[in-house]
Amino acid sequence: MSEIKLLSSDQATITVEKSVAERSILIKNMLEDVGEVTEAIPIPNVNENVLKKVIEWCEHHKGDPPAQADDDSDSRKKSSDIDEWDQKFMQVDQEMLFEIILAANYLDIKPLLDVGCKTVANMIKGKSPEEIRKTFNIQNDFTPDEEEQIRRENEWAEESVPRSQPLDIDEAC
Amino acid sequence: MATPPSIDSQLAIDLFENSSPSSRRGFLSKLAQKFYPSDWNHIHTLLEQTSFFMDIVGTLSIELAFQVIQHLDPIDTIRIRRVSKRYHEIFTSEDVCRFLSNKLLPLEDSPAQPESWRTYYENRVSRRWAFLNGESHSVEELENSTTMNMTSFCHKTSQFAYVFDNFTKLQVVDLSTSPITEVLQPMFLPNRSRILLIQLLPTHVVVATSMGVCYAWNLSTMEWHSFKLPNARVNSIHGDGSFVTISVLKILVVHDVVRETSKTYEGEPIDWLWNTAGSDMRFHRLLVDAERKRVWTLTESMPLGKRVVHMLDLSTGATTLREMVLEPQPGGRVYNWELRDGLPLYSGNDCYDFAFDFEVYNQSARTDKAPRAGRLVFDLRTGDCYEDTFYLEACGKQIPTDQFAHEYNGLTCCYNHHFAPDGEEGEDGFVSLGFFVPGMAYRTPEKKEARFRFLDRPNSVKVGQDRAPWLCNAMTEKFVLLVSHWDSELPLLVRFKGIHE
Repeated sequence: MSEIKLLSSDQATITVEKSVAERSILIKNMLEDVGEVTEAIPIPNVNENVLKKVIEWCEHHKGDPPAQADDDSDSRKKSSDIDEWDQKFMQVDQEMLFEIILAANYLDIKPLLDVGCKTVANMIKGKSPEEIRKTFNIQNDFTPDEEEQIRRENEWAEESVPRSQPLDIDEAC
Repeated sequence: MATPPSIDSQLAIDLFENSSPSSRRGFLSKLAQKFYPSDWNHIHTLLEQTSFFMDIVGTLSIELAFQVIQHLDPIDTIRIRRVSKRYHEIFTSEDVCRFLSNKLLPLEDSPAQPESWRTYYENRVSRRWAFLNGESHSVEELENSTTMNMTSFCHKTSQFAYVFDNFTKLQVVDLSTSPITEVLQPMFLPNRSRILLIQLLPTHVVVATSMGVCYAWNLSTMEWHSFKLPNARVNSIHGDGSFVTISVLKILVVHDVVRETSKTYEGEPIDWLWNTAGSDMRFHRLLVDAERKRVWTLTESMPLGKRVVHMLDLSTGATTLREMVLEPQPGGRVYNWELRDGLPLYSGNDCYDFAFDFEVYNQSARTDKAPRAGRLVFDLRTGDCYEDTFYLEACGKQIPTDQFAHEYNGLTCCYNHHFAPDGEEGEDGFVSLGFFVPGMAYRTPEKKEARFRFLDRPNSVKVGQDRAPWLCNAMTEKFVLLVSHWDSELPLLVRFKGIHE
């Protein structure tokens, strides 16, 4: 089994199975272009920690079928679900999560990029504005007047009050 | 005295950019020793801004931020505007609203070219949100229609055709206008024969009669033409674009309503329509794809479980065959089940499914969970057949649901069965009162659970009162047409509107 070496941005050398590294389209194309390499391939945008994490993902997913070409007709079946292993894998601090997304984008690992983006999206879904601010450490910079106006503009999008059971029938029928 | 040279910033930045991380760190540490308090203050401001940008939109490039927000639900993209000024600016901008419209909302039948993408997006999201919550804008009764025998709906035009007065009269109305407008006034057929099948196309309405003659009205000129079927043993009809296909005994007729030409397919390769081995044939269905010039046929024979799907290529006349085996075995248990109906879903050009509503009727096989809304879907492209079921949730508990009534563009209209909040619970944990409450359910594909909201309805019915089932006969995100099984109740058109409409 052939192995290759990767050189992280902080000068760490990581040895990895070639087939695992080739989950990265960037590395795969690079290897195809240059053929055999003995020296470590520099990955200047990704540090050791993140690179190790990304390789961990690639190792777990090395047997996955190759990603389908974008098929728009399938988009309605696109799921926002993340498989269990990936969910655990993504239980990292936010900085690491963002680094993984950047690394997956740079290394061109589409499925990992998707999992990362879905994870961030799930941190937003169904949350109130205040919860989102807390999650991402965002300052509320509206003046009270502005806030009230924007609240009123978008009031229709708030969760309507859950109707109690008897009311359901009396009102709706 | 010469002034000290100012920092050649580009050179310094280039040097810094091309340094290794360790030499960068070393350089920054040395540099920091030279900072004045005002420099520290400036760094502090920069850091604060960085932590502000430690959120998706700020930290990631706009391309990557788009990758994230395409996984949001539309309603999240509205709520998120209240987070901060920057979020408000981003999520109300024309570019982002256009991206969201195209990415998060199903395509409309006529591609949108709105003046303001923000208004367009807000209208569609709010309309769909009202739909999901069962909050109707208005309810109209559809007159002249208490004895509706057959119906046909065209999504492209929002027109609705129906047959009434004991299969003798037909009418076409436009449901998108308020009030509903007449497209084709109520009329008998030229020879007053009984109507057996009806199909509405974007430009025409086609009916097949008991005499084996078909009539097609052009809905803009009101002119009609007729064509004769090879025999009067009419079986099923389906149409798309300008094509209508009708199957009669042993023959498939494909008629082009614009060119007014018919072509028949019989014998080889059409025998399969009728000669499924060992068959007592139950029904078959047709599905036309006008753009790709294909007709799909589904033949079902007794005993249930033997089904064959064929594709007829209209340009070559060649057929391909796929046999499908339907064996729903949810949870590995043996279910007694029955197909309710097999209906082609919306027959736009993206439709590749035959879907069947089915019912689990073996009481003892029920688990602690409520009966499910279920359907079997046969994907024509892959030949996969899968069971697609879900539980509906309302009032904080799972409620039984009889079946889907209609599904379009990611929205589902269905009605629930024997649900009475005040009554006593039966053995299955739910009350069987035999009444039906129409409502809306929404779920994203592949989600097993959906939220169910009751639909506002004007005529009040008390709990426990016997109710007629209301079936949805036509729907878009703008309206739902509910037709009662009781002749005494007029069909209702329930409309949903966007906030700017």
